Amino acid sequence: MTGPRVLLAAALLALVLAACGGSARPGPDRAAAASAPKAGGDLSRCAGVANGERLDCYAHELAAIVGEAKDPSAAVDGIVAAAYQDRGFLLANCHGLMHTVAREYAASHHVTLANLMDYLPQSNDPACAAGYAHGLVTGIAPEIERAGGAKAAAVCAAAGTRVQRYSCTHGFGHAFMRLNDDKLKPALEMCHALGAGAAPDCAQGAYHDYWFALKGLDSAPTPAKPISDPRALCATQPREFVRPCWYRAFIESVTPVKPVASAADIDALCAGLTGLQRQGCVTGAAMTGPADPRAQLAICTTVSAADMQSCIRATKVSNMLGLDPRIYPILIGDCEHFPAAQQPGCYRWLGKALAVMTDGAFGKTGCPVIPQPAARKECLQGVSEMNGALVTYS
Amino acid sequence: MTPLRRRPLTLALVVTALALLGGGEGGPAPAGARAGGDAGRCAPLAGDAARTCYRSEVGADLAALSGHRPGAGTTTFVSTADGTVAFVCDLHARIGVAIGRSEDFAQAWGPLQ
Repeated sequence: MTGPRVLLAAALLALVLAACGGSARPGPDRAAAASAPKAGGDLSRCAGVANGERLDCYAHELAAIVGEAKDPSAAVDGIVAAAYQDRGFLLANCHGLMHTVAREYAASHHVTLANLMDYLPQSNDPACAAGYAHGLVTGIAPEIERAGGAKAAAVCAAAGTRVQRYSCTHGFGHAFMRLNDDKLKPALEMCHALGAGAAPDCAQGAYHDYWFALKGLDSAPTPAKPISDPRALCATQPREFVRPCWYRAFIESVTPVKPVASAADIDALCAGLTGLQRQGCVTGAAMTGPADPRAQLAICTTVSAADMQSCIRATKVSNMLGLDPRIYPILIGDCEHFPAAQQPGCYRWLGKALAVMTDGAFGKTGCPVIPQPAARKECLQGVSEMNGALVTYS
Repeated sequence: MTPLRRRPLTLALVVTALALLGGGEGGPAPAGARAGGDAGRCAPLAGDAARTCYRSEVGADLAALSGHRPGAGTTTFVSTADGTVAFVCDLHARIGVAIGRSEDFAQAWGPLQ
């Protein structure tokens, strides 16, 4: 057969294959499939659903998508990627949605402590993936109780990255609350038993569930004597958990808090508080600030010197996830806008937070590009602390 | 190459183009086509194949919902002041990605753009 005839034969073969559905997308008859109702989850069914029922629709469809997946962890990773690509309603609400999806999945698919790691998403995403991880751990609360509560949290050590370990520990805080009918005191005692390296991060999960309960979210039981005023709540908490208590107090508030845009706004929320209560409050208040971590830091440069480090702790470094990593040093570079006495703490905290987000990589790719030797050193010091309790990271 | 020998080659190219147009993903959807993707087809898959599949199919669902092609939308970062978004977990408003617009990031990351 001559060259052109070979080409013609190949082309005819391509035509036959195409006619038989030989494309990347399987399916015996695409036209027929297109008009048939889809089995399983289908987010497009939520089109036109009224706002009040939209979350329920998404939760239902996501649960169906993940529930029928052979590899649910990969399904969640794929959903994460799609949500970031779309940057719409799903991503904005993904964390809470996934809490519920995963909690129900764990119950219906017999997830256990022993196989928990098989189900945790591999993504470091703090929105969908973290919510799913938190929900899974919450869903195996009874198993955690049988395994001895705090002892069970050792399983988190097997998580693949620092963010995933943190997320697992946070999930235990949620689970401890569900084991204790969403009563903070016994749940925090279980968190305390994890040791200083994990207890505050577990506590953050417990307080998170407390706010869920107050708002009637994720089937969290309503407390018998709910305290919705952060000042009243955090004033009575163990010292080691004061910062975790405040951290979500404003952003999860039952009564919406106007986002801060200035030092005066932070002062207004935290007026009259002193010491650790003031510090925790300033961090919580700063958390309501701009989504852009650089804009947040800019506000922090205008607060009083005594509040600066607490404000810096609220920097939303994880907002940069998915952006070009070359950007990360730009954020930490903003520490130079603080007074000299505040800069070491700024470089240290952001070095730590960025190291957590990058599972330590920032120590090799970020800190070294900081021009000032002293600042570089502080950054690396922060990186070296990434495996300790994060307390206010998320 | 003589005109006689060119003819099968031209025909081959035309047939291949027709095959690709007819069988490719980019062709117009048939009348009555469902909107979005089909995550169900990813269900039997595992690992990276599943990740890629779910990203594509769920992405198509989301694109259908928002009326744009996946990835074609402007990256928008919501202000936490945007009360139109019903955040289940308000904390994740700060993830900063939602319905709404903010020029924050575009300005902040200017040096790399």
